[in-house]
Amino acid sequence: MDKVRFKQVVAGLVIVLAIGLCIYAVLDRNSLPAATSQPAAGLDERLGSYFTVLDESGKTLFTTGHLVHVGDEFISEDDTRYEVIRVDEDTAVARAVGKMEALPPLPLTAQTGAGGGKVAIYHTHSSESYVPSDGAESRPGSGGIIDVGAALADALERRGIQAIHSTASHEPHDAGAYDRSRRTAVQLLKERPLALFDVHRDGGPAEPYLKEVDGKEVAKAMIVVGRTNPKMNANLDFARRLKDAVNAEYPGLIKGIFLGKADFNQDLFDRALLLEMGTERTSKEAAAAGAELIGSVVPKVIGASTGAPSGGAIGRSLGWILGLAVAGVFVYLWVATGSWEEMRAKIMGWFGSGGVRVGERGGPRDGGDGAGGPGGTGDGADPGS
Amino acid sequence: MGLPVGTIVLIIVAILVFFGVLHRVLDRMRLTDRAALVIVLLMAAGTFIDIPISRGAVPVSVNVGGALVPLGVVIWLIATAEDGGDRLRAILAPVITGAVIWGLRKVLSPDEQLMRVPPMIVFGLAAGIIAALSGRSRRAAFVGGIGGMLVADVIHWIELLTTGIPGNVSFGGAGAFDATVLAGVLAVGLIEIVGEAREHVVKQGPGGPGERREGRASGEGEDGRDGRG
Repeated sequence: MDKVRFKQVVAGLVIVLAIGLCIYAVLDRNSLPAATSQPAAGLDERLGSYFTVLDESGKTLFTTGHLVHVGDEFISEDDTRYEVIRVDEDTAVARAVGKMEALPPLPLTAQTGAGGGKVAIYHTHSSESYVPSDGAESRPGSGGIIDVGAALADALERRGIQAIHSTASHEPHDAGAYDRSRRTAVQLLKERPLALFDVHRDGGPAEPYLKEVDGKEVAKAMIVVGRTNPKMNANLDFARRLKDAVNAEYPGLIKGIFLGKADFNQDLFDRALLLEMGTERTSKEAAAAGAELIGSVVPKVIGASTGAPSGGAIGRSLGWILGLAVAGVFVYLWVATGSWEEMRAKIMGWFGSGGVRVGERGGPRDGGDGAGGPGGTGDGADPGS
Repeated sequence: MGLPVGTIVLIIVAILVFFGVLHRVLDRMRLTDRAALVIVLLMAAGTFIDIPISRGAVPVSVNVGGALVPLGVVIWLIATAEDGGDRLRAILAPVITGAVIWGLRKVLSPDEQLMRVPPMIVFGLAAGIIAALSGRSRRAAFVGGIGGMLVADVIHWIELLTTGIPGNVSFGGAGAFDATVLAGVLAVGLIEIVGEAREHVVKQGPGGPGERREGRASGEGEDGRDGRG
């Protein structure tokens, strides 16, 4: 590297570093722990505001602190599937696209309870809290949501399920929270649980999330499934079974399933679900009561075969992997060779005489073993030349 | 069934290595095909091994597959750098990338749904872009991607210690599924695409293909930099 080039590189690095420091300076205030009475900056549940999703007749389907995008979907209590077709500021309109097909019946073991097993619970947004009970929407280190997770765990334990409740903090509440909670989720999955719940609370008014069960105020729940994750179908299958089972015993306790444009780490497991337990404006006690009721029903569905790979899902998964691999090879070859003829020659080289590797346009490998993989023998020829 | 994103990426890498497509990339990183496949397997197996480092106010652990194995590759790449400039770039890359990733975690929305590109992908792309700015080096890209994520976690650790925010640090804790591994792979992929696209443009320009190939055959790479990096 000549001196001029070196200076350019150093100058570039300094500029990038400066930009990074500027970002740090601007955002540093937000990274400091908020006073417990103040919401943490940048909460994804849009504190103080929320989305209202209407059907085409103008009737409110649900409210949520989640950001709503065109293409998001909602499966209501009665299994009607809606697709969001328009978003205007804080109001979205969803079109009913039909009823979900009935799920096949559960195996007998699932209907009568799984008879043991483990369920894992964690909290990506471990500071989420309930204003009426906790005094704040966010309490870093002691979020009220941990107590709601504990109520769910207790309900499971009382029914013979080993609940593994991680209270790991993933603070601060920033764009790295899901990366950090992904590590917790992977740790929990090493315990081979039958289900993995990321317990949150939603944002928005309390009223749509409240109901009465046996004279007691209970917060409803909404299940959230990430529609951009490869396991979406399996996650949704489990979500529907849970919704149906819970609502069969406590009608309306699960208000629906929201399919949002995200992953939520649900790509890690077929039975990974995000549960929104009440909102910041419901009481923690109501949310915990709702969690207990849901926990009482979970054993009835975790023995189901929803996690078992189905033929269609396997095909889809394999197709995804192979499609990406083929597309990657195709794009690489096209860019590397620059013409169809050269690209064809390369491919023929792999399957024909030689196994000539892309990029091996002369000279032996530098430090390589020469033999490499079965892709070629490294003869140094360039069929495209 | 669907597979986790990290698994899908590693499978694709293994397939590309198997067919020799990544031969030149690995060559520039002083790795053989077999070594690359062994590294992929070690990352997968190491996912199940966590080593606690600290149990204090901020518990810290390191995962073998998600951090130690990739870190070993990073050290290897820095150690085998051919000259001082190359080595300097490889050392600076993770520091700068780490600061930028940490900054991005703050500046980007915490809501995945607001982002067109998932955060895990963004961090890898950031490492690739920084590597591109620092000289289109595959070596710097991989070191920047892996090292950058680890440095960002170190900054997060310092942040927790200095601000008192409760939390824990798990370097590469999701193993093969961790954003750390993905960042390294994506960064190299981005550099490769940028490098090939640039070469493609050069190929169409004055001088033609013959000139380009001659340059390649000399082992210098498309700009005299990739040949070393």
